[in-house]
Amino acid sequence: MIMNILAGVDIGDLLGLALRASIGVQAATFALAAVGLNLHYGYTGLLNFGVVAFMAAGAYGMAIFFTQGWLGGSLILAIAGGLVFAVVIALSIGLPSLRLRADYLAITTIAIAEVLRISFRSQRLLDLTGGPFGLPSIEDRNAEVSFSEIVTIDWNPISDGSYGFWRLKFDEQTLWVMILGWTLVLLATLLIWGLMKSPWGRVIKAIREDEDAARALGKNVFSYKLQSLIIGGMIVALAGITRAMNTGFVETQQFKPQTTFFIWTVLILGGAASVWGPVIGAVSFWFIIVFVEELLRQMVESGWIPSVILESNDVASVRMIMMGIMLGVLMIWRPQGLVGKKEEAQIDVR
Amino acid sequence: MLIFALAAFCASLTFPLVASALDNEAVFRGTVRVGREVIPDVTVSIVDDAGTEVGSVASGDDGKWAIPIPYIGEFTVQLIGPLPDGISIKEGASSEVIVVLEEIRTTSVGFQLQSEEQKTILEIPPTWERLLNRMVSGLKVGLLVALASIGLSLIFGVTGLVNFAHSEMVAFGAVIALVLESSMGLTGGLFPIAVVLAVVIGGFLGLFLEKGIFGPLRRKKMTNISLMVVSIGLAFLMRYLMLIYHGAEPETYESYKIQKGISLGPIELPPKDYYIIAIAFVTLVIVGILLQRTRLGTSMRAVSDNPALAESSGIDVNRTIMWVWIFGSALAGLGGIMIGLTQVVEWQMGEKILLLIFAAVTLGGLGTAYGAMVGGIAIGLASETSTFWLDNDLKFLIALAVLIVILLVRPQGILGVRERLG
Repeated sequence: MIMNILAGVDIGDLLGLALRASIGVQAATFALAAVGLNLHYGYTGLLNFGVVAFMAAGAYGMAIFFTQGWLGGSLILAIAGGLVFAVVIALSIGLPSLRLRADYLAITTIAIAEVLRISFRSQRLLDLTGGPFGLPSIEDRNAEVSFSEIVTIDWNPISDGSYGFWRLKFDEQTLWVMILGWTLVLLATLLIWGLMKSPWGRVIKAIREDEDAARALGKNVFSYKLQSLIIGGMIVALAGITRAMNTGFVETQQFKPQTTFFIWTVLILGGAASVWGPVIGAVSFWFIIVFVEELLRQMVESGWIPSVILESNDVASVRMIMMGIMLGVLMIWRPQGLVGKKEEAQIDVR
Repeated sequence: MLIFALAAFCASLTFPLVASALDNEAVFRGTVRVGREVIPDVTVSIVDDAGTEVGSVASGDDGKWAIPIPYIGEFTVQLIGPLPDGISIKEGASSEVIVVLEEIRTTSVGFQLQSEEQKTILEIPPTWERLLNRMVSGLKVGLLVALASIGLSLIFGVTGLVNFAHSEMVAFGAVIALVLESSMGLTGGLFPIAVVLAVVIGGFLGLFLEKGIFGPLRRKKMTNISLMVVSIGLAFLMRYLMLIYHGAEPETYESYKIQKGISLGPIELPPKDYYIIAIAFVTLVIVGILLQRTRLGTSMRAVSDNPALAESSGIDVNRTIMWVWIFGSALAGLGGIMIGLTQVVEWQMGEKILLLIFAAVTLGGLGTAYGAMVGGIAIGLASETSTFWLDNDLKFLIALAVLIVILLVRPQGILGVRERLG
């Protein structure tokens, strides 16, 4: 029976694609965003449902500074501008709402993320954000004038060619962005590791466990929460910028709430409140998603799944369904994820 | 070019990995017309963002044209002409329409044309009349949002769960009614049967969610925060199941599709809107009476107020919670059908209305049914009336702004009772 099912399916192909996905730039950006969210949710206990707001702030901030040429057209300064914009967003989310109860904070953050997205899309900001078309403008994109060209071509030290073996062959541009992305992930992870070893990290975890106790010890809970929101937010913004470098443009469509919940799934799968959880989560998430998606695609195409159940152009939606199921199932049966500690993942922030 | 088109397509799926084969074609179509008069032999041409012509066609005798689009991207649809004498592009409108195609689907493209006569006799109703019409439409939207929100608020009241899947229960009702209408032929006068059946099925959905998922998890002593995350997962599951099994195409109910407006003084609405307003209003009043006067309603309010006290005074808390789920889900379904009647029925309905419902519920006060009613009406009025001054695409922002401000200033809402919140 199993051999029969395998008849129409190329396992090597599946494994290759899934492995390729799990080390790809997408996985790196999600790992990076999850590292930032881990500081918010895993360590500080902040129920941030507006992760995508920080990604959008970083990516749009960078793209606006770059395309408007406000900082002399320097990409490095534009990226710094994007990070500063993320800090502004963190402050405007945090200052008013960090005193709220967890579920209210969740709703507020998701609403603020939507406000940001809809504003970016508005016709009134067409000159600044490109409205629904995004940045850079279509003409610039066709003329290959984009921030991503600078990163992938001008900054690229790798000589032209194809690197790797088997299905894991990458051209020099993809390879370079992958190296950049995973380097950022590594640096951010080391930063979090260092922070959590420091007195600052102990206060942050104390706040997650018992806010009132931390307050009773004379710690300014609000200020620590805000610092956590800013640092994590900047890491998430870097993820947004990396993603923009990879896709070559920013567009509001990339920053819908579902992206937030993908990052949540990545974090919970890997293990919240563990240093390497986000990285392990991102790698395994992409492996699972692409493997199952491709398996289904091949099974549909070879007729093992009748078209009444699934058609080949529905397969893309399966990714979202898998995300939903994973999120729910993990929360119910394994809230600590793959590598987290159970006692740290039982969060009932009040 | 193709690579870019694929990239844009993939970006719209949040993140790409394997470029999907675009085996189905998308189609742009439309009808060249002025009012009810169709215009044949007008050439329409489509150019992609690289300037390459995708296709061009002349409108048929019925004014209709259709051009298949082979890939995803941004296209400019141009009205080339020739237009008959006396017919021109409306002032302020353009002969070019830019369409961003994000997924493979048939997209309608229209051009705003006017005839000479229209130009001269185009009368704009007085300002206050337009404002009044906006407000009536706001009242309608508000009543529907109220209907859809009560369940969310009551479920929060009795269990403490912020149910992110509630908006999918709204969409589910609308989709089920559409499926019943088309598969069982319940059109026209029979449509109310489809509505009743869909509302009953919606109630069963609530029963299933409580008995099958949230009840057992609550007894497993899962925290409300964890359950909230579970409900988010459930929302995605439901939303994309509706996409796969119902389709991506937005649809409208066959019954009451297009109706001519009826004037009532300065207000002009299609007849179905009068019915919708009446039905929503009557339903809300009935819900109020049920909550106030019946045994079950009293126990719902009691459990919402203080579960421990309610239990010790002999109320079966679990049974009450079950009925709250059933009623809340049925009302959400009814709200969904009504929203579908005034707009379109599609798989994304839930996503679109989610924050509107949250805004209504938090404005009124989480946990109180009357709060959801007041909040819903206020949100509907505020967002619809705002289009009188602001761009249409900003009306959603008004609702979100209300939501954020109320959470920051008075998180317990207008009718909520103050408690420790942070």
